[in-house]
Amino acid sequence: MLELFGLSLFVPLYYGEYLVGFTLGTMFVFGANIPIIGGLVILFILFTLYGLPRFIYRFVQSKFN
Amino acid sequence: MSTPVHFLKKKKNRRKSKLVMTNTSQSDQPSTEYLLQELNNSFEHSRHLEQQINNYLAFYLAFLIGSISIVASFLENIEQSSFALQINLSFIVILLVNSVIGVSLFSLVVKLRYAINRHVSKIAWIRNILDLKKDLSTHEEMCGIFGSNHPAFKKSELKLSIFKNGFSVKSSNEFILLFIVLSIFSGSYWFIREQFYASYKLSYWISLILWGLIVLYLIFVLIQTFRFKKYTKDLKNS
Repeated sequence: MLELFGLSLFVPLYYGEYLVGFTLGTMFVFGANIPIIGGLVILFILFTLYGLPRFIYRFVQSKFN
Repeated sequence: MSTPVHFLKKKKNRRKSKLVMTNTSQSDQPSTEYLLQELNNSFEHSRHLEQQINNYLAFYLAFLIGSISIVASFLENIEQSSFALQINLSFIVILLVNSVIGVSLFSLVVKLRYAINRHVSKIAWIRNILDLKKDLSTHEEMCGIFGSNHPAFKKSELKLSIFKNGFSVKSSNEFILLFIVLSIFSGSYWFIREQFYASYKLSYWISLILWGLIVLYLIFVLIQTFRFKKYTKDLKNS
């Protein structure tokens, strides 16, 4: 899980296709609702991890330029 | 008669001035490197938009799976006496929500598709300029840049006129997919209901419908992937 978060700093991993894959993979054991809710939370974290450093970098760059 | 001669003269002059204009514009044209850069940009942007369409459809599919699952779990806990009313209400509400989201998604996808078409026309425009400059003249060379599977080269574009005011959608795979999904979902209402009354196992039918939807989505994604894989490969080679 931590590797996933680490990887999301460099690669965008917040696409809907991954959510569907995650849901389908875990649906057999957990049903559909729990993976979708959990997957949305994970997707939000991954989106923040990918977008926040870039946003800060752009913000700082615009301040210095 | 003086007027026709005058008219002809005017026409001749106009043609001359057009020729002069093309000559001057050819000298003012941007460089080939700049055009290729623009070509690459619009190419990448159209690819990004296609990915966005896939992304939105995947979210919609996840939502659809979730809503069907909610209905299924809801139905299993309902008492038998109040079953008929509850099943009707829950299915109608879920169907309405799914339809509203589906239609808004469809309009969004159409907008994205129009944006992609604009990129395609820009690509065609750059192609014409490059043809004029005689830098890249043959069809094979152009295919090397665009990829032969690019919509600009596709002849069999599907056209659907939905309303009478000329509203048309080109290459509307998404529309067909959405239509299939919604019709399956609405059709499954009666199907599940009848099967439930016939005391079949509900989860079996729901899983059957889910797998149908999933297979449809996977086919769609595979088509999109192969369409882009080829011309990105060609782009890299060129």
